[in-house]
Amino acid sequence: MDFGFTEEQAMLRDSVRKLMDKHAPPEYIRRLEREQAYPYELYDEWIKAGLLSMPFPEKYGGLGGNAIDLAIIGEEIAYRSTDLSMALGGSMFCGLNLVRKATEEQKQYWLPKLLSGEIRMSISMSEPDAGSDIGAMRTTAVLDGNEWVINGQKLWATGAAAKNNVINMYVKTDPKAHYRQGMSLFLIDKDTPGIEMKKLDMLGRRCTGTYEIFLKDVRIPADRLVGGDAGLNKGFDFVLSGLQVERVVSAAGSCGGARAVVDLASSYAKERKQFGKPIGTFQAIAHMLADMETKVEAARSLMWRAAWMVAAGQNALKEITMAKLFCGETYAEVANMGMQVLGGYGYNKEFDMERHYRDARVATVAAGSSQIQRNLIANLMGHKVQ
Amino acid sequence: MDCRFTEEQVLLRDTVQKLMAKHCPPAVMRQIDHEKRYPYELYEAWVEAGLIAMLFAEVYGGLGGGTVDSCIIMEEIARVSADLSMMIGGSTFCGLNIQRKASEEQKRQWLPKLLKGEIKMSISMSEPDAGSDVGAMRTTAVRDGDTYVINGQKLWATGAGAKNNVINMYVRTDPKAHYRQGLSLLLIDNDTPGLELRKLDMLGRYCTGTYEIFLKDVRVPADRLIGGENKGWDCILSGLQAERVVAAAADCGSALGCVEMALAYAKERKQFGRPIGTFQAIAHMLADMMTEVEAARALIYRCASMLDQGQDALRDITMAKLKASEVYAEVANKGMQIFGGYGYNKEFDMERHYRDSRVATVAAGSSQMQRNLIANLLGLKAQ
Repeated sequence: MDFGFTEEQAMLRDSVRKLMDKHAPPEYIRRLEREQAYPYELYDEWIKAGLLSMPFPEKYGGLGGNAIDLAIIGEEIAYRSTDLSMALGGSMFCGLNLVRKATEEQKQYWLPKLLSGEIRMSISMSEPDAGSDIGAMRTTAVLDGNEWVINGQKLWATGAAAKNNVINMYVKTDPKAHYRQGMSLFLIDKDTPGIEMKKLDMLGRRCTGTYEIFLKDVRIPADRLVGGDAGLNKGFDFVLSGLQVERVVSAAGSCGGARAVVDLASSYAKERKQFGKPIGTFQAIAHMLADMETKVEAARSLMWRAAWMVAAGQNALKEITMAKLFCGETYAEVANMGMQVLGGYGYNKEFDMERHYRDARVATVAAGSSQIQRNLIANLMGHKVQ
Repeated sequence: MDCRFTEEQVLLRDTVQKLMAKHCPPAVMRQIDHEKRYPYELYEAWVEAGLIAMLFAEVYGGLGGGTVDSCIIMEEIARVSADLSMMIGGSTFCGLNIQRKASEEQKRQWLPKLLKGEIKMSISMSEPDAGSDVGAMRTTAVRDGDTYVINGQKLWATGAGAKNNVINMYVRTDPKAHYRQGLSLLLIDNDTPGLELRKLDMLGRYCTGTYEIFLKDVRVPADRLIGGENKGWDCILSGLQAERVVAAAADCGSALGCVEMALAYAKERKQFGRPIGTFQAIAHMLADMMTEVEAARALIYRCASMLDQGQDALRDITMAKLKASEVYAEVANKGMQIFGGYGYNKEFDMERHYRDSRVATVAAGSSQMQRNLIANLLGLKAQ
């Protein structure tokens, strides 16, 4: 049992760190946060460094990496900003889902464009009345000759409006089918006529952005149905398959953010003096930091084990689900504790802790809420949860 | 032992509730939060309704109410917004501290103006290097004839920038004295020449605002010193007690408002064909939230009742502040989970509670300081 990185994995981690140090220093992150701006120049650097290509099969222009590489990249980017990590995350897990579920023709067409940076990808599932209950979605796609016509409304679509973004949107193709049956996955250029997007005013993650999408008679070619004819109404399978990768990425991102919080709080506690001593020497603060560090390392252990299982081709559904649950909860929890350690300075926007407090809170909601993760884990343990 | 409100107290609570519903319904609150605007019209409505006068002795123009009354008022205002509660909170606890510590002449000079709404009051203690360690403050006040000349820098001064605000500022009047000795309380008009205010960009509590204060040769008449030169530590302790009762009551009110919001959402929001509040995970979360809020309220009202009966309630005040602030932060955190995606969206009100609540366990004495004090009062010399 070897918990260490291989030499290549360590090199990958170091090269991502160097890239982020160079192209995304704290001032860059803070500026983007103030302007609520998408990180286009940073995304280009990620492409140039081959980070997006890393986990994709060589056949499509990838570098043949695996889920561990995915997690390394995700964690290191999220260490600087979980918000910015979602910009790459969307392309990564949408693209990897296509590797699993698209037709060969679709893969040959879309993946090179994605990996070269010509296009980006993002996901769109939720609707006003369909959050955890994704089967309740009502946006429809109806076949009309050689085109699908889409009508409806989507919500909470992260990164949807970025330039050259292709939205991976789940819609209902058979409204008469029962509930989770009758969904399909489509690839929709974000500037297709009939699409209107509104950037939502959210508590955090404001650079990649969260969008509401209105679709009125949006027409797309039939070949945009992922999986072709065999993919029709199979959307829920795609959702499940896609969610596994999405959740590894999400868990790794939460770990990166959580590690950053602990480092920030710990260094503050060494510098900040009150009553003549660094506040980290007071047991209450010291033990808080010890707990934060322990939680983060526990989260990372769960996440790495899940990533390793996926990379080894094992069925890791339970492990991924536990990792997503624990890592998301940990990020939110340590950010909360970090706010306490930083006191008044934590509450001030000139310091980075409050951004973590804001960015972290959605980690237990997006990509499947903690309650949904718990349902799934309990189900996998053999309990039929109501 | 009667835990119920009297008829007058019930009436007071209903009056404040109605006033808030009239002058600050949810849509208005959202707007002033987005605009980061101090709602002067609301402060005036409070003055007119006698909510500030309520708690002061009749001889100064007050209505002779007690601590329980003050808690009721703070709760109902804070139920709408913790941020708003700080507007009235500052005037209330600063004024009460003056009533306790000032000379008769000073009380007659300052309290009627405060109660009539001609002036407001806010507190200023912290500095960049003096947070929990209040004694480490370095802003000085030097006697020069009939005035004090103040130089230095203060931080985290809530509500300092409001119109007609008089800052209750703690400064060092004897730099040679050891640490907590040598501090004094001075009343400083916020537009005194030499005083510069900078509104800070904070995570929440935008309307009342949090300020940095720069003082360069600021001159104030010597009769603005309250409670005796270098006796400031007594004033601080007395002032902190008043501040903590007010803060605890406000935290209880905000926590209650937050739970009510989450509960209403859990009844309305349907997923999987049923209100999400019918799923045990959410239902139990709400049950826990409500229980915590009621536990906090029980603590503060018991404490308020003790104070009204003239009992020493330092330990109770401290426990109430600790508990209420921790509960507010906790229920806001859970409320965010219940609201899901909508919790993260600024068109809904839960994220405002998430932001406004987080400083409750830091301001007016951090939770760690409260625990130190409680432990000390239990006979433990906490290192």
